[in-house]
Amino acid sequence: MIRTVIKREFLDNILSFKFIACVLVAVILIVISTSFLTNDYKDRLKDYNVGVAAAKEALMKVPVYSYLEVRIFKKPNPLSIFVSGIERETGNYVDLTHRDIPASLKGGRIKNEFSHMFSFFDLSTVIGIIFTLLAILLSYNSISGEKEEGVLSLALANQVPRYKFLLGKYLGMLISLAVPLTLLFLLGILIVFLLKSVELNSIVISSMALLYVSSLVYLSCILLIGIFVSSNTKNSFNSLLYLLGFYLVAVFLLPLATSGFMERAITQRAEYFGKNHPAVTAERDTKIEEALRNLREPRTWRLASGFARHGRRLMKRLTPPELLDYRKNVNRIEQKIVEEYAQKVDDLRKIDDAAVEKLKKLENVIYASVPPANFMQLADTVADTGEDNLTRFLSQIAIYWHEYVRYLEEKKAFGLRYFYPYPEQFTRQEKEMMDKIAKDYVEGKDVVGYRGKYFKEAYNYNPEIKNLDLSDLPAFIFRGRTFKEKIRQALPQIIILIIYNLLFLIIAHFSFNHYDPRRDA
Amino acid sequence: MMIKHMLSRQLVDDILSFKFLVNTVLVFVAVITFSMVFVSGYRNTQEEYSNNRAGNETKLRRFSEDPRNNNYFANVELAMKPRPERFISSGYEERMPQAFHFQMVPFELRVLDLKEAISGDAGYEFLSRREYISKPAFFSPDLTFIVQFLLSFFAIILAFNAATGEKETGTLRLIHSNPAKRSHYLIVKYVSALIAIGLPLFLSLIIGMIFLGISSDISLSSSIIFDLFAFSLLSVLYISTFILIGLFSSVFSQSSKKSLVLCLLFWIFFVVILPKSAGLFLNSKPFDVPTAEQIEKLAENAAQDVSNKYKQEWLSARQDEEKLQALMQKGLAEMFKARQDVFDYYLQRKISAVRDLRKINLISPASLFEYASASIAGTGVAHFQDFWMQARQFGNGFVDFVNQISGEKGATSPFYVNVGFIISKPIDFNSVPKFEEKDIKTGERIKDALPYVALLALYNLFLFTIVIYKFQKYDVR
Repeated sequence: MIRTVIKREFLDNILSFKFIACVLVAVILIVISTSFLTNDYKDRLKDYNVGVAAAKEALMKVPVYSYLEVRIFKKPNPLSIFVSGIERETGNYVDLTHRDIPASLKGGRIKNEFSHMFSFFDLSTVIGIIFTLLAILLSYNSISGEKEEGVLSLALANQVPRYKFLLGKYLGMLISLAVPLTLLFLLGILIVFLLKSVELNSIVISSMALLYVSSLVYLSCILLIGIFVSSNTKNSFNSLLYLLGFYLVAVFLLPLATSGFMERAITQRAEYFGKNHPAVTAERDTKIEEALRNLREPRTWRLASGFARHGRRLMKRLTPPELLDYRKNVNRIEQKIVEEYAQKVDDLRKIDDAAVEKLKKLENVIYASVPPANFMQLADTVADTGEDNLTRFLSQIAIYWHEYVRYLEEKKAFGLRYFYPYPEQFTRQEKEMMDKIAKDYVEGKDVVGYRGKYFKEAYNYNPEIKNLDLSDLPAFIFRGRTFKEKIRQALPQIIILIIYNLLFLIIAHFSFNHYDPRRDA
Repeated sequence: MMIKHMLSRQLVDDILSFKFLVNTVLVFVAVITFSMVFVSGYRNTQEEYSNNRAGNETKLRRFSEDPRNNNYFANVELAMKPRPERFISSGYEERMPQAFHFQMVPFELRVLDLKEAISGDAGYEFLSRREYISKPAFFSPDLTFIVQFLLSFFAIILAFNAATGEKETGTLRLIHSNPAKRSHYLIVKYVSALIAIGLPLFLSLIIGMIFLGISSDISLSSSIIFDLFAFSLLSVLYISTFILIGLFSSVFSQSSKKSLVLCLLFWIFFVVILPKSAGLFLNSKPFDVPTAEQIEKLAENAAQDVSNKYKQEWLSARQDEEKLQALMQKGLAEMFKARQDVFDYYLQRKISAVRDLRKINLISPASLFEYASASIAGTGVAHFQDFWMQARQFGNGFVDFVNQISGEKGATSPFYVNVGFIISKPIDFNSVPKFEEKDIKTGERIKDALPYVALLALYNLFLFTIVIYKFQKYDVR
């Protein structure tokens, strides 16, 4: 018996105008947006590959440590094709120096600063907006509509138990939604496959499967809400009005107002860094100054005219040994303090982060309690393209930064190899030349100026610099969420949706049992 | 007489209906929340703006005290003034660049994107603070959204069963057996719906105004009130479009149910789908722009081209000091201008790309309304363009001022200052030009909005004619 109800419901739905129109719109949107986002992903992946290669090459050409800057790229997430999240809005790399811990990403794909004005659909928003509407349009008259047409009393007279009728209607609608949903997912994957940009590895496929299941749970929740409202109203127009009111509030108004409030709250709460950062920097500077007070800077050799112009390369080498020693010491002392304060500055940010975290938790609670917003969050979690991913990347970078500084210290990078060019590299011939020039130079003679004795040598002096061997620099590997972690993260949200499902199923069943199937006179 | 009677009956029907209640509550809640969001946000932006102005003042004061000092050359960040009219329509300004960096030597006026603006004085602060990025919402919380989204929805809900509903209840036949004209019946429906939506609209505008008035950060000037007035007129026109869309689907369908579904599809297509799809064409060829680095390179090349052009002249004039000076001045001025021209050209192209992309949306009345209200409020892309012009004027004026006060003869270029000749005495701080964005004139804003308003009116007229025509042939049985 239940099979008949399901079959009838399914056929009724998929042949209706609203169904065909909504599905058509969804399909067109998915085709356009998936091809756009796939191409965008392709570009970002290309940027990533080119960037990584360039960064690798740059590491081979570092003569001294003061020139070292490690550029780390963030690999684009293929799931951003379906759930764009904030990936396109953020940059795609950080520059790591020994001076500070990076706090934000640089670069990025946004070429036109004004393009932030545009927002667009992706798979998750198509489900969240179009399919939600479709689910409402399917379910708003599930009970009251049947009553109005007189089918309800007929069906019940035919010894169909009420719960079977309800279940049949619900399953029929769910199947009629599941069919286009499956189509949408397959279409998305097909487009990605045809554009040949993404290797559809296991994590992508399993995440997509998870997203599919979550979408189904979510849509079923909307259907049950629809049935619940429908079984509590006498006419289907009122039922639709209630549901559309819910749709407007839950899908658009609530997220808009919440994010508006959150944005303001974040700018107000996350001010600890801005307020305290200048003081901390000043403290660092005075501390460095104090630490260096006992060191006396030895005088450098007096430069003769023309020297600076023609002996620039030589000049850097023609430094008195005591000056080099001095610089080495300064560097060492300074670096310790700089490192300590880089951590302190990062701690300042962490205080702000903690305040923001609290706000975000509150936001999550608000979103989790409303199914459409819950689903949007859930999609972000499953795809791992939201804010969490960015925070995760930056905190892993902060950990790596310490590793990186340890490496530099181990390599004695803040010693003589910090300067350009470092004196340990002199060849014997060079050393002899240096000695000669230095001796004459100390005596105050113009040695490398226009009329100088060694003008030619100095002018042509172009030592070959041996680059640093950085092959043992520890590599940074970003650990995104594994599938298990994704499930663990998404589970509470899915459970809330399932609870909603059960809740509305039970109360819909209850109210339907008391429903008066007779037509109004 | 008849028509008056019909109108009063219809109006009472509409206002006492459940849907009216639902909508009014929704609109009120939205207005109150949005004004709270706006007021607290406006305080933040106002604070940032005054910080920016204070920072600029310090820099300019230092410059005036010691104009020749290399480190103190005017190096200021020109910020867009936050307009309280953003409450009417934000024009998505919060997602647009809102500042320029001006540098006197070598001349440069460059747009700062939002990220650079976050990390403080560009180039000074290497320890940037953390960005908290959240997913961009589809809309901005402003009055435009309430009208564009909520009230248009309400409009179709009121109008979708104008013909079909009365037919189903059988009143339509009755009415037509009376000597009333068919068109009158429809006009009554239309006017009544307009009044029923106008009521919450005006009330919500008043509530919004009260909220803005209460907050100490915003002063309700006459121009805001005028803008609100113009905005409400525009809103009426926009709502009328959606009532007509409702009537349109009503006269074209035989049952209320079908009409409602049709209406909802129209609504979601015009209000949500179409306006939010233009961004999908951003990367396509006609709207593509080079990256920041590429533009930088192009600018360098342009400057290099000019310097190559002058190279021979400079070399040949080496003997004559005075001539060389003059030639250098001319060449360098041209070089800086060429560089700046490249930046300006691409900024203009970026703006045009956005404007062209938005043209796709002109078929949607919701977008027409959005653009018109942004023009009336003086926000959005048009505002940015005006702000840019003012920043440009300021930059060139500043260079002129320094040249003039230094008594530099023959310095005609607004792009070049000869550093060696800058006056060495302190300048009176009050005479140093300072940047403050001036508001766009009301006339200009209205002029900007006119094409959109005209299109919207055409839309109305078109729908109205079709609806009336079709209804004459409507089968009332």
